[in-house]
Amino acid sequence: MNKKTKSLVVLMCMVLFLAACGSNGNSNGSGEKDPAKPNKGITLTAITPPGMEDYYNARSKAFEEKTGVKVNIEVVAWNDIITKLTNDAVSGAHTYDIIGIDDIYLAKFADAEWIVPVDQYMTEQLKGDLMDYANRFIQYKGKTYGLPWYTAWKTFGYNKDLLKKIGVDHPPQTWDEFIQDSQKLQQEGSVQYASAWSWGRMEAVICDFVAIMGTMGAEPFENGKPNFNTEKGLEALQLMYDMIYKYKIVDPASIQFAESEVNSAFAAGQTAFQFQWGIPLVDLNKPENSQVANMTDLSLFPSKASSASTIGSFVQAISKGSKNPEAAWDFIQFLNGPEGQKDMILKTGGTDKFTAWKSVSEDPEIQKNLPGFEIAMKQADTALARPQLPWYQEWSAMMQDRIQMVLLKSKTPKEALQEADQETQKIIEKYNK
Amino acid sequence: MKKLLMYIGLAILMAFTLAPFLSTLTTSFSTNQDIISGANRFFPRHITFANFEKAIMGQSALSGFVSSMFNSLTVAAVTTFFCLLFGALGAYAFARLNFRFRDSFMLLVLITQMIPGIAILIPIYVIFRQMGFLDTKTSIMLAQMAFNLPFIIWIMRSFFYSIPKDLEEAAFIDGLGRFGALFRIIMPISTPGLFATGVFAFMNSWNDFLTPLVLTSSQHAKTMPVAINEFLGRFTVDYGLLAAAGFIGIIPPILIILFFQRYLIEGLTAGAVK
Amino acid sequence: MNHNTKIMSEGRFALILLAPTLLLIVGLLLYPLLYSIYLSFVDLNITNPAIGTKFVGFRNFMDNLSDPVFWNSLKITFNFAFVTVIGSLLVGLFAALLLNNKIRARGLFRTLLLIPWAIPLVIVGMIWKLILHPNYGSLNALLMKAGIIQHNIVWLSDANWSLVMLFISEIWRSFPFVALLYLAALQTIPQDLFEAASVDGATKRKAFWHITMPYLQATTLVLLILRTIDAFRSFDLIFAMTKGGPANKTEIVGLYLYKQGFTFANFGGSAAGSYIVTLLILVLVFIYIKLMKVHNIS
Repeated sequence: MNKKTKSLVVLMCMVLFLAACGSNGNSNGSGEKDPAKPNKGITLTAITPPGMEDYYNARSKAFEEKTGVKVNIEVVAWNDIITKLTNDAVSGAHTYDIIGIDDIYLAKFADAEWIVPVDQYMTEQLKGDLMDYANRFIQYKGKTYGLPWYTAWKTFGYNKDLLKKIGVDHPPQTWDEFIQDSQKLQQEGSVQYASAWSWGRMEAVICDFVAIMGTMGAEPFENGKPNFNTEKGLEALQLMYDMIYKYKIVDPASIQFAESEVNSAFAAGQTAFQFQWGIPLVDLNKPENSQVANMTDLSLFPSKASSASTIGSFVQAISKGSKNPEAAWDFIQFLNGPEGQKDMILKTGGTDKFTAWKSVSEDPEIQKNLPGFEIAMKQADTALARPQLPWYQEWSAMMQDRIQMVLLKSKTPKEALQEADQETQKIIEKYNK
Repeated sequence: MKKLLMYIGLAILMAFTLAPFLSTLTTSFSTNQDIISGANRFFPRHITFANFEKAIMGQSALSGFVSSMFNSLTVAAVTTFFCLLFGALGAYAFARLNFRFRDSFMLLVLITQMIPGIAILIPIYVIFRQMGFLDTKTSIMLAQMAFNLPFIIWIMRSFFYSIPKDLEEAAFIDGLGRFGALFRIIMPISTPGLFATGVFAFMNSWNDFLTPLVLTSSQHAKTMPVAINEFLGRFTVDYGLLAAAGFIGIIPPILIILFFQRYLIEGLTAGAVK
Repeated sequence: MNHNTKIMSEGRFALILLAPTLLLIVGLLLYPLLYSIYLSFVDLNITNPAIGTKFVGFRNFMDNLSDPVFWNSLKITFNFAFVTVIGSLLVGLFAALLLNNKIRARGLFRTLLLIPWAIPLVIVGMIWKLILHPNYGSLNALLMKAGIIQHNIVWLSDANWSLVMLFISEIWRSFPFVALLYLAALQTIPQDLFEAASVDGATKRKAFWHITMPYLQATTLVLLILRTIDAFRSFDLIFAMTKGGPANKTEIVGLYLYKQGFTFANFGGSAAGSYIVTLLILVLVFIYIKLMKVHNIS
């Protein structure tokens, strides 16, 4: 038995040894040097969300023809991207060359040094072409980390036909008007609830809170400091509460909804307004997807002080583990540079893949293909980025619960914001420890 | 009267068991318009096969979902086979043989079942990366075997308890060695138990989500539960497509149950799990 | 096999039989086990690579224990485990007793009964979310048609309903397994015991408590243990259905730990929390064994 125990121990050690210090390099078959294709023969791995496999594979092929660099497209479900990327990075593997992260994770990934700055690749031409709002989320601590990908901000959609029925010929511009129109729609029996919102326990509720607070004229964080436990913050939260309970114009199911459910209700003609990402009109105008084809339009988000919106975008960035950052950058630019983005919008629709480039936004071909384009661009100027903080996720989770407690009537807006403020201090303290 | 009560009970039980399943079936055959307008809730107003078509046919070729079904089948079949083989050997040892640490090992087996999966995802990933096994079906099989074997052994032990010891002794007298006794005498009478345990192993493998999520990245190895998540849009949801994919995804395990239902109960009875 | 060879010693034979299992467990589970223990005592300082990994003693454990959110999730987990374990055992037992009777097409009913067990959790979550959808879901449609409700109920937005619906969906997916094991156990009861009992004039109810129940005791213990472990590790179903909402009313500990790890990148805290949960399960299992006075568990 003794001998066996010993051999078992040896075996164990071998397995551990294997696990601890093997190495797994991504060897690049290097072909002959071709000055036009300096990176020829390299293979890169890019992680992409589902739904556009064919497009990405075609782009990858086109890129290979152009540069000789092969890019493997790996598809991961939207819900699972962050799990996979975090797992890959924390384990020290860094197996991907090109990754995509939601802009609210940029600070964490940059501080953790899981992604590398790309300032050296940003030519003056690119910098000059980039729209203002895009700079707000691809930069962190003065460095640029990638290009905007799946860029969108929230826009306000309304059902023209439903409004016409109650004799209103223009979309609401202020919150008072929004409330009036909503109540009238419900009184006339056109809809049970005039709107549904994505106020479920997820990031979506924060996106709406940021925008609504924006319409009061303030941001939840200003200069990196908490600014939500203020009059403006209170006003925003109170409005969210009142729309459900006082005016009864918002479907109470909003407390469990994500953006998809909001859009379904709007597409079925069950609601008259929606605050949605990008330009949902593209899909809403397809009769196979909706019962409101050509009945809806975009307008600026109603406001009290000034219209506002929230940016939600992915940043396509280079992973720390990439052995070929230059080739990786070439692909990122190929996919998301001005030409790439135009191609993407034309071929896959503009719903949630909007442009971050001035040159593309001025392109008549693009403008022609996207209904509501002008309004969307105007809204872009007002779009707020959520704060770039390495502890944003902790804050957001805490804040989602506080907002939901208000919407469940278990706390008053004032109590909730006060508590949120205290909790935020705790998160900051813990982080600085 | 008693009979009537029994059938009422059965009806309630079956309604509870099957209603959610049937509701999903209805959704899978419905158009999205009917689903979101609430037009059909019990039976599809317009029957369509479009959702199934969409799930099976990808954008241009067969979808990743179909290949994930084949991956799932391969992984579950191989994992089940080895779980049964290694599990039977191990369970026999625990049920019949005396060796040191026998009792404490069983405790260890239980403990391994209790570690929350999330805590070990990272190290499992590291191990397979070092072995160069990432994104292979083999890696999922090996990991699932390691996770499942303790449970399998625990269940199978009881089958061997129920087999009279005389049988082995008779085998020894007949000149069969230990292996001979095990494979020619013990295993054959345990077949129903093996089938029953096999179904357990298959289900565990088929349902596993986190292991394949972490270990796979391409269509070569992705399994069904991972692939089905890809049908969830970012800001849209296609209920009909999800329901259709979900329905396709549960056909194999339901077939397995259909075929093995008899052995399942018979087999478990033989062991009467203790 | 040679007739004259001596029968191999039990210890050696056991080692040979267990070798594949040991190899797999040691090779694939030992390192993760050790690593996760290691994680629970360090701070990876992920967003501060300049500091790097630091040993922090029991701080991760203390952080969890002093976090009201953790306690809240434990409380919800306990409720969840209590209701769904007992619920699934009762429904499962009911189903087993029913399908143990001689009825027509019994095999078919037994097969149908097992369907929920065959459905992957990811899909179970999708199914229930759709059924419970306030506007398109079939549950509201059914209740409306039956005249029980006048307005759609928003099941998953309501603090109480969302928990109740989680309980029901968890019981739905887990009771078939319970029924299966109970059915098997019921087959082992010798029929002559019941005959003898009826000769003695015992009522059916008495026969149930004095004959059937004792035979089910061992299975009940196994099920209690397995189902409790399951309930404490539950994650996928709730993630798919409510994501812990509304507010934190359905955030069970599995979800809390996932969030700590993969959303907050606080892997030390997540691992430490996992071990606190493991300890709790161990204590529960110990209590079960003591209460049921069954000793042949290991």
